[in-house]
Amino acid sequence: MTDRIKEQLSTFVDGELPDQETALLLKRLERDDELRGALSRYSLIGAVLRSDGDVPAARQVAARVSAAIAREPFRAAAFVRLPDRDSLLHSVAGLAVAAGVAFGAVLIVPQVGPQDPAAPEALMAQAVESPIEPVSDVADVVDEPAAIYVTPPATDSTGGIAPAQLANYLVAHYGYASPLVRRSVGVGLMSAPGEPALVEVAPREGQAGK
Amino acid sequence: MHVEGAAQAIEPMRAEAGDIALVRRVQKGDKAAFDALVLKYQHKVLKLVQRYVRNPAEAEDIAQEAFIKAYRALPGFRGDSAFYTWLYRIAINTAKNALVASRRRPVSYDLDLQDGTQVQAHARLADTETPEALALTDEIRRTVNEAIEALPDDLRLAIVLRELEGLSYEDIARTMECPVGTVRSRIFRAREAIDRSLREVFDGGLGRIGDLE
Repeated sequence: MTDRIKEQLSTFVDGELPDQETALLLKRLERDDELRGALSRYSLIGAVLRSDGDVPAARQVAARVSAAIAREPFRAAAFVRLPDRDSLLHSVAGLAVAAGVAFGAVLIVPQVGPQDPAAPEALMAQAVESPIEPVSDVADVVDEPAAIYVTPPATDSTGGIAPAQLANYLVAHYGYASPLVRRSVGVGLMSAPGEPALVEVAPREGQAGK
Repeated sequence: MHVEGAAQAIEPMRAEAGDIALVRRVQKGDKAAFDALVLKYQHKVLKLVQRYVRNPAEAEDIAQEAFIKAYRALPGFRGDSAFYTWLYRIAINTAKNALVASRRRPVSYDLDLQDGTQVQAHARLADTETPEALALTDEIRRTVNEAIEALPDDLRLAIVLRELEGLSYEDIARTMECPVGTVRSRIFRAREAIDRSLREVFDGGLGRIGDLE
């Protein structure tokens, strides 16, 4: 390991290494135990300097974690997943039909009138409440990581937008839609055949300690 | 210069930005990036866990478990808080759960989980129990502080501004009136000098350098 590499490592520890160099360094880190040891010690030095008390030297943690996560399947970020561009385009016709039906439903159902400001939210809550797997906090998530995901059943291939996808789309874009559109599509959702929605709920790091 | 007791640890903002960049890589499937995060924070997490669990081997197990839980939960991490703050809470929860599982009482009861500095203030309440572990942590602290003292002024100032004051390279360059490249080099040379002393500690019988990963 050359001094140049070690200087890169030092810069990396400080979060000052450019992205491209970081990518190369991470690759090297995978196969260079000496470099891993240096990273561990550089970090230990920082921890000792910043600490009032003694800092124990972790001996096997990194190696064991590395071995453990090597067996873990890759899981994509758990943010709400939107339909990709192509499927979205193919679904426009279906969405238009659903919106039309929904608008008709709004006209027919008098109790959900525009004078009721809570109605759109109530509708949406009803529409998406039951299919969403609740995830209360990170503590729950990390204790039972499998609960992060709700895997959807296969949807039909008619080209119309699936209620699950529509629900996800709405959850993501609800704040941007006008009240009329929200209400219309929400009713459309309710009138669609029942199907569990794919909603991957991101754990909220702000609630981890609760 | 005595750095021991320089209490208020300031996590450098740049380092946090670096962490977020690593987290994004992990979220795209780069496990090496998570390795780097573990290597970076394993000592701090272990220290945190040892506030609850005295046995060093058990503490390492819990630290390992905390990192694995963090890895599994990482797809949902959005960067609203610093990565270490998030990891810190997971480690605390994991340690607490381990205590409940083993029906043992925590070493300290009054930690404010929202405030990492309080944990540092309680650092001496629950040192590791075995004589070897005690000797090693003590020796590490002494070695690092002595090595810092022995550094040339420019190297010592550079690493202190970085590690204790949390300044960016650019700010250090302005403070020391030198180019950023010089700052980078000085900090590296300071670390290397300290690391040389540290390796002697591990090679000298208190631990094997290969073990410290």
